[in-house]
Amino acid sequence: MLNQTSKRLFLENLRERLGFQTRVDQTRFEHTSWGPVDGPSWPRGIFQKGLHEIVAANGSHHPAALAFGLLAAHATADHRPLLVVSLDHNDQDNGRLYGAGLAALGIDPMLVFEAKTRTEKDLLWTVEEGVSCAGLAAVIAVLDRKERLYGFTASRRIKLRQEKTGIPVFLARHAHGDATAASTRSLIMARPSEGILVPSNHLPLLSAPRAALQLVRHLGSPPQTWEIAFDASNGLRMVAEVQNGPFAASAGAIENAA
Amino acid sequence: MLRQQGPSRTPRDAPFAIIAPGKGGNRLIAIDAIASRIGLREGMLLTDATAIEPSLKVSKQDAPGEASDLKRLAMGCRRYSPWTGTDAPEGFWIDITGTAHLFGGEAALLADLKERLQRHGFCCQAAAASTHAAAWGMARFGKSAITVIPPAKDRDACAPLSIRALNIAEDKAALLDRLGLKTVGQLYVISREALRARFGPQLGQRLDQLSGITGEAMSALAYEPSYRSQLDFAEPVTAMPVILDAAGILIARLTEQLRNNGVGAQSFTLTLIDTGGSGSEIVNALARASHDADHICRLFRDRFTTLEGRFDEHSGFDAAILHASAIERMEAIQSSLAPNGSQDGSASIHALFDRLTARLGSRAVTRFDFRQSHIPERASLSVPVLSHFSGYEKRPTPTRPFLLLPHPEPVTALAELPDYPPRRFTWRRVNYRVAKAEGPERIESEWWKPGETHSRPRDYYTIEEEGGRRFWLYREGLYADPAHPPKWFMHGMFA
Repeated sequence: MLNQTSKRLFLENLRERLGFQTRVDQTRFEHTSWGPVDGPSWPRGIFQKGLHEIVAANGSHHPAALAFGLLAAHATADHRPLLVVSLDHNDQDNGRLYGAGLAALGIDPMLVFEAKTRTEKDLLWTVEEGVSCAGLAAVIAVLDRKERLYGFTASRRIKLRQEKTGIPVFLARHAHGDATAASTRSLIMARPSEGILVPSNHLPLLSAPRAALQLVRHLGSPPQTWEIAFDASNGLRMVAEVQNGPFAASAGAIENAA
Repeated sequence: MLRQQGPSRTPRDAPFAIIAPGKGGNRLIAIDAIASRIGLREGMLLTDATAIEPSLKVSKQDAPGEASDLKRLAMGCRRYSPWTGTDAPEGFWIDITGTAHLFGGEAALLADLKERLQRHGFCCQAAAASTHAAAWGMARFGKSAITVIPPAKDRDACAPLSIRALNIAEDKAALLDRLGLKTVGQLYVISREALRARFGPQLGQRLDQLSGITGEAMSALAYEPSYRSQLDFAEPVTAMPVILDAAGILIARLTEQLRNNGVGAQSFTLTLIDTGGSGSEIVNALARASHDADHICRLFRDRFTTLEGRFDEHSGFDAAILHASAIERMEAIQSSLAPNGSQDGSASIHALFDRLTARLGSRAVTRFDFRQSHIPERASLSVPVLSHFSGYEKRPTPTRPFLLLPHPEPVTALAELPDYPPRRFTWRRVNYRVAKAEGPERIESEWWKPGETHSRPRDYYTIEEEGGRRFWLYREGLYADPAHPPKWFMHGMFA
């Protein structure tokens, strides 16, 4: 029979394994004002330098978080290589990067290098080393479980290194966590795309995948939300239409998402 | 000397041959004793050989490996003379002028050489003569395993040998055969003018080289200096900082040697010899050749950090040896990891990967490589960044997820017959409703590969569930076979 502490630890571990979002994150997503999508308000150049945290709505939206990091990094890469750093604990949970799939996303797989580390300490060391390398375009790091070392101090160290080379870092995080020295923090979740109706098909065909990106933290600007699309030809782009109603529906969808 | 590709797995009681492409198809280029006893011959077509003996085991020839092995053997024979070279594809020569007496004479030298080669599993036939042409012919066509031709007797000793002992083109040898000229001695009585008029200048030239009338240009293997530096300690050293300092001294000495010769090395091996006489090795492989002492010091420092605590504190080390290998000329190095980057950017990326592999391990830092396969998990692989990659051909890619599960996971799906996409599925105990879908894309098995004949086809579907998440599922097998109902699997995730 488990005592209360053991039970709590067991449930936390189970949630972590199944990728459930914490109660705190759900509250934030629900209560944030989504507002209309605004094309001109996309902050140009915001992701060209600095440390950017991307938090998936929950574990099942991790692909959207990673894809956004890759595409945002690739947008300014100018044929320079990207370094993707992740923990070597379990590729089976979230999948491994697939070269042919990167090509279908519009990213040249020959420009993507991966580093797998056994510990979070090695991961942060690798990010710092990558940020210090002038030849890289960007570093994309994945922390897909509860962080033990990453926090204000580690983020500050990364930013100090970045100031010399200007290389951006995109960190896909497990959950919000405490305040860090990151330049921006965004929440992301996949959104239904526009289906292409074909009379002979039982189901609509797929168009460019979409996601809702909520910039929750950026110095000097209030939280904003956009609906973005990933397109192999055009990379990352903003969807122009106003989507107030569906956003309200999607807030409920986040709460119920597994 | 022939080498097969891959490790040898042939049991001793089965005939074995090495094959290589030839006229009309694959031909046997080397056979073992069992194959020879049952009537197989070198040069025979493989199809003919397998018709005679269906149990014949074969392996493809590894020509580059053979050339490399031959070169190493020739270099190893420098214990007899500094002048050695290869007679590809199956022999090598040693100029023992002035050195034979150090080994007790030509016969004793050849006997010692034969014994050493036998210890390494090689059979050989050796000959010593005053001219290279005579030694070449006698070694291949002579009757004895070891032959020493007395000085000035090369012409007479080679007279009974086959005309192929002159190392002439096979078509000329075949023509001489047809004309009834089968031995070298038969050519001695024919005038040079007649030989030149009928067979060209080469035949006469070879006869003169065999007799010693004209010389033969020989190119010995270039001497490759060994880059090595050693430091002996006055007393056994156990402290890591002292070992690191010693490594720094060795690196400074070795990199100066490399710089002075205008070369760099891609691999540095530090061997620590303990008081018991055994050595512990630390190897650092670099993305490209370097002679930068600071960079190499840093790599070893990072490796020592990961190895700290693994050395026995009580044993101590008596000496440290640093050896550099995979030497390249520094001005010939091209950047390859950053195809469109600047030289400076490329250099910094190489240095970054050196540091990462030193700390994380050579298999932890990877790049993508592609294979000629339509099976998704085989088409694209991750390979160590320092390894050679086969090249990437940019071509239109079909829809593929950017995240692939290493092992496809079973899924429970509800789909309309015969091959409509699923309407609902359950994966990892979560239920999904499909809102949009594309497919099927059928991927058949690679039936021509061993073990794949009975693999079932896969029908892949790209689906988007109601919440917008996209997955790549496949159904393995067809509904037409009730004995083996199809199964559904999750294979990847899209953005």
